[in-house]
Amino acid sequence: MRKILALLLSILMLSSLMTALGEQSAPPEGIAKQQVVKLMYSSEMADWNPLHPSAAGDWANYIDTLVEYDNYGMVQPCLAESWTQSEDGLTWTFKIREGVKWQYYDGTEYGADVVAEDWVTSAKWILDPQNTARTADLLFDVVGAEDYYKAMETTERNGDWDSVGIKATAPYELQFTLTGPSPYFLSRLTYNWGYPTNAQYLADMGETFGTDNTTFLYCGAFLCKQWEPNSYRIDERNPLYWDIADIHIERIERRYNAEASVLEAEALLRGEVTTASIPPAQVDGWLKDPERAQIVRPSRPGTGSNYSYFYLFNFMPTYEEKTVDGYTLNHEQWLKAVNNINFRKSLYYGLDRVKGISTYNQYTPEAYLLRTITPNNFVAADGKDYPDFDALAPFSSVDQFQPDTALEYKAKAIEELTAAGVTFPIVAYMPYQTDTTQVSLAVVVSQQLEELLGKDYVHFVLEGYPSTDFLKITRRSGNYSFMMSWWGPDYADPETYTDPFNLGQAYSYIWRADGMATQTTQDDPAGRMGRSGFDETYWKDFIYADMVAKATAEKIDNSVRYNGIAETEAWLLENAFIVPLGLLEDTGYVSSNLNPFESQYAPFGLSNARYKYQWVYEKQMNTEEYNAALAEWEAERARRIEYAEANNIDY
Amino acid sequence: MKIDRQPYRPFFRRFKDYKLDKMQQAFRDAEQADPAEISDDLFEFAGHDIMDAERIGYSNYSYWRSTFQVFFKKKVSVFLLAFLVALLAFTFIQPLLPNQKDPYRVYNDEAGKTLMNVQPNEEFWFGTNNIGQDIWSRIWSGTRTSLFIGLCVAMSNNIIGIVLGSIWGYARKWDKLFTEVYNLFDNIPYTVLRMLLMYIMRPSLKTMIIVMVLTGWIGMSKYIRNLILIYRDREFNLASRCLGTPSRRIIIKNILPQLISVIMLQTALAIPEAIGAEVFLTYIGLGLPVSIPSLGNLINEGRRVMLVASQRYQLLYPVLVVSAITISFYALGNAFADASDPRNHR
Amino acid sequence: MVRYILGRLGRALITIFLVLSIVFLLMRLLPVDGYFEGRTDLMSDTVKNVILKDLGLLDPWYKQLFDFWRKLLLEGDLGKSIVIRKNVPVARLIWPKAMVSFEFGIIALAIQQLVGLTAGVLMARHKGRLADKLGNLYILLINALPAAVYFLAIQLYLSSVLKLPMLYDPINTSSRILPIICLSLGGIASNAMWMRRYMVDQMNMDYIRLARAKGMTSGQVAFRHVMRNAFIPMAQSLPTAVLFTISGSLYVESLFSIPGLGGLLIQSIQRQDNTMVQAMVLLYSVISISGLLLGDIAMMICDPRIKLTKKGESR
Repeated sequence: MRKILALLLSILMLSSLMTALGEQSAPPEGIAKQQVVKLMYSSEMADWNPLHPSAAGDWANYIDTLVEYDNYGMVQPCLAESWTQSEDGLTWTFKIREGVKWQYYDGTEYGADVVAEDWVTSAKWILDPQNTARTADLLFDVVGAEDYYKAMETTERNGDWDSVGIKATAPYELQFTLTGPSPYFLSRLTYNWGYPTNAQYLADMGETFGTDNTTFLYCGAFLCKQWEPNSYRIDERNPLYWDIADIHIERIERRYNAEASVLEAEALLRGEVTTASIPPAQVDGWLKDPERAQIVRPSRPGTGSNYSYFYLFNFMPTYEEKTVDGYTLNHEQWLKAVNNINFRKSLYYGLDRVKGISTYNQYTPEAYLLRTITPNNFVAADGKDYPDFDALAPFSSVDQFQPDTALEYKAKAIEELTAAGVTFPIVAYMPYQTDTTQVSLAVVVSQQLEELLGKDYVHFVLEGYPSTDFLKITRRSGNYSFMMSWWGPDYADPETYTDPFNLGQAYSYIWRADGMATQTTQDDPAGRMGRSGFDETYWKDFIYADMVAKATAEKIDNSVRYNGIAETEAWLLENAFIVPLGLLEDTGYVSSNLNPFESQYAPFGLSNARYKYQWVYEKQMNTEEYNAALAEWEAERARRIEYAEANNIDY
Repeated sequence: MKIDRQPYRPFFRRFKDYKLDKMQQAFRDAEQADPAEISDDLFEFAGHDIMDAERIGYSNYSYWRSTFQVFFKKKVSVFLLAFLVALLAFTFIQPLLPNQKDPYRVYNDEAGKTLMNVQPNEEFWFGTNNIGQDIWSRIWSGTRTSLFIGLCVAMSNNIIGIVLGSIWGYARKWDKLFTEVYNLFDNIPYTVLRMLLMYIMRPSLKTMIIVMVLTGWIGMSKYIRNLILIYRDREFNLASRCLGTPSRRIIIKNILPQLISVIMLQTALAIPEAIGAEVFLTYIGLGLPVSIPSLGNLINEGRRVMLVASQRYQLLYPVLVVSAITISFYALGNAFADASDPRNHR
Repeated sequence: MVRYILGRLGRALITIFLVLSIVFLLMRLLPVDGYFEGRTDLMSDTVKNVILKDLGLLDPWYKQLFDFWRKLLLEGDLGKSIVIRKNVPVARLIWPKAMVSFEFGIIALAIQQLVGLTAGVLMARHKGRLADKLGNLYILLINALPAAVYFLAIQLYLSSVLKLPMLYDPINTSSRILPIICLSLGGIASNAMWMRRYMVDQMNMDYIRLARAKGMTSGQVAFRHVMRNAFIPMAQSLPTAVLFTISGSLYVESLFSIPGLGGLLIQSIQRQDNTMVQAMVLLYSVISISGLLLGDIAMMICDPRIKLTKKGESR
């Protein structure tokens, strides 16, 4: 599919022009007179260094990246006007847009243009351990980057920058050389290491670089004109922005409030903010009020993070073998049970996912339901959304909550497990995070399963842990038997959703399940460590790892690649190792004067934090309008994917 | 942030300070009655009777009886005491009553749909919360938890405070050391100490009690120490020491009985104080796990729905219970402190 | 006198040293995952080690403690914030916030004293009558209702009834009214209660009876005698109260978006900003110790009968 490697610039320009023209010539109906976004926020900007933190979404409006996404999730040129990929897929060359100025926060020009060298500066800074950038490892798939980082970490600091595959081959030509072909490289560029940095300014500022809104340079759509910590932050449209035609919002006013989640909704009713999320506990009251019901809509799933939530069966139990209310936790009993596929399937089919999700959103829980681990509208090929691929269709097309099926598996499990000497009920340890909605979820799900399958079959021992170190204490340490966990994508490829279950990640230690892998020693070249710090045993011939390796060996043809990865995911579901639940990040309801379908759509990277293409509307969208717009958006996205595939455009 | 200090000290601390200061003052005054002010015509000669002389001096004044007499004279106090006893009894009896719901259980209707945000009705007396749990039973379960914390904290503070305070006050050579330790503890902001300990030990019922005791014993021992300093060198103790009574016995038999009223006051006020501290810790996200009903958790959950008229009952009931408990303990403590003041015994 | 103050200052320094060291070491007991900004799962061990090394957390505890004191004492350097605002010196962060809190706090304190003490006097003079009953009801309500609840109620309902802004806005003076009301309520109650009790007690004292017998009106007695005597314990607590206004109020500042010091200590602990926590603890211990010293001196000036030097261990 990507055999034609040179990208046809003209086609891309045409498609972006089409959208631009469509929106520019006539602004949509019902827009507000003042294009001002007003927000309330409760966590203050802790770090103004755009190269520093892992979640650098706040800068997406101040600094542009090489590429970005449009509102249908299609890759668009941004500071890179065009790009090519070498025959072997290892070298990517970007043609940088000329004439983009570096500016101070007040809009005056710094006196330099954005050039290819600026990305080299960023990479060099991030890869210097002295700067403690928290995203250095995101760059490790560039040739020489990891070695350079490790060399710079030693006292000699003898890293050889020339060996790192990030080069400015001409003033406006940037080249990346990768360690292996990466079909999803473009999506990787939308993280903060894809921000350019002016070397001269960085050197001049030294320690003070990026300590507040005035100490870094801007080249994005907005300038942060005023910032008063724990008080307010005001952005204004950058008059010199290269793509100003797509920036309709003139001002973004943010008010800090530590209790934003409680006050936001009230502030919206008084017209003091333009977007407010309605706390789950309040939604009921809003929807019952005829006036308020007209200005509130479900939040759009998958825009924020695309974190997929699922239940895990643990194959390395380490929890304390204690007795709670007369039920005794026992590793041996649990391992016998969890290694029985019928037991796993009885929970897999018995879990009422919709009921669980309704603790997050009781009105439209179905909208957040996932039947596969990889969410919908994440990637697509052959004109099909990934969960609809042949391997996954049996799961995604049918409701997976099947009480009768669950009871059949329960009967089988009882028979087999009794023979194996297991005593009933099987006692499962279910930890949860205490300061989130997870509490309600754990209570509801455990009671639902116990009621359906019988308290004499399975009993859950619930225990709450605070958010500090939650995952380390529970999931990673194997301190659970059945619990909910989650995974967010790092790049636009379904491979990202295979990572958590593979060797090296502390999810559910599937390699320890009966017959899944062979234990070996450190000396065995084929052996890989389970997970450093938690399961430091060595394993080889892990069935799942081999399947993933085989599927991801295909780097060029996305259709073949995705279908292969879909089979590995189907295998996880077929064996009931994982019980998909839903997208639980952006559940609940919002009231907003913005149209969620106008914002840049990308389940990874920083593009979705941008306000490009968006308008402020007079009236907030209601649920009906939202549903209509969602259907329209899905159809348009499918059409655009088809078009891009037909014309060999990267997307 | 409220640093626990005057005059920003929480109300109870100030109130207690005042009460205790007043008691100390009363004891001091009692010491210094000036004989010159008493006129002669108040006295008359008593005849000499040999039988009487053989009898051991006896007065029918009993501190405790007078205290209770004064206390029970006030109808309000009696009413409050009865109310509190009833409340306490009810929190423990409630789960045993018929038709009570399980505070942890999520209730579904016949169709299997969760009964969320049900307004108070015959089935759910105080309605249900946003995941379909019964608020009535959660409130009583929460009250049990919070009262348990309060009682544990009060008891531990008393025991540690009395033991250390007695040693501090009585043993002169330890005074310097204890004073320095006191200064040290008193100068670490309580919030810092509480939060760090909560993080290090992880929030749970046990941690919460430990943390509150760690920051609470110090005040109690200071008061005990001051009172002991007043009593230590009073004549009857000097006499007792001269007769060879060991220190331990002097502390336990001669001094501690004088401190009972202080201890009772401390206990009465420690409970609402602990509930307040629990609400605060919950507010900053360091309270008990949300799944365990406690008054702090219930109030925090209720605050989130304060803006929605139809759900306001979820805040109203827990606040009513907290207020009732606080007011009763406060008023009782007040009445008892008055009653135990010997100057009111006539 | 001077010797006494110097001695107390000397002991205060030791106390501050110990307090700060204890908090420093307690902070080191916190789990290290807090330093990775939620990327624990993804971050490679190499990067994690670099971060911990950069924060100096890989050194043994005594070396960390020694380095901290060396920097503080020799260079006067409290360090830079590591989370709340990366790389910004903590002193630069704390001062502006402290000043905002001070501004609100000092007004609220004045209101508390003025309204609270007046109310207390009135209640005492009308003991048992309507004014007293209303006052007592107010005191009871303020102390029985959780502050987190009635502050929120004031913010939401009063702002819509009185048409006042919901959040603090530095340019708009009327936006300060509600937070100041909230800040004052508790103090008014406790001042009124204290004053009332004090008045009632003093009214039975001999010198008051004498004054009444001399023919002074009860109003004159209240203001010339009782108030004057009441001023002595107040003089002792006032310096601490004034100094502590800079620490702000967590509830009020969070609700009204006031950029004060209120939630900073809590936030610093929650986000494991070690340098921030150390600086704040230093600030608070200095304030509390100097507040006590100033209070004792003030009390001595107000009441010549009090001699501090006699029993130095009084505090």
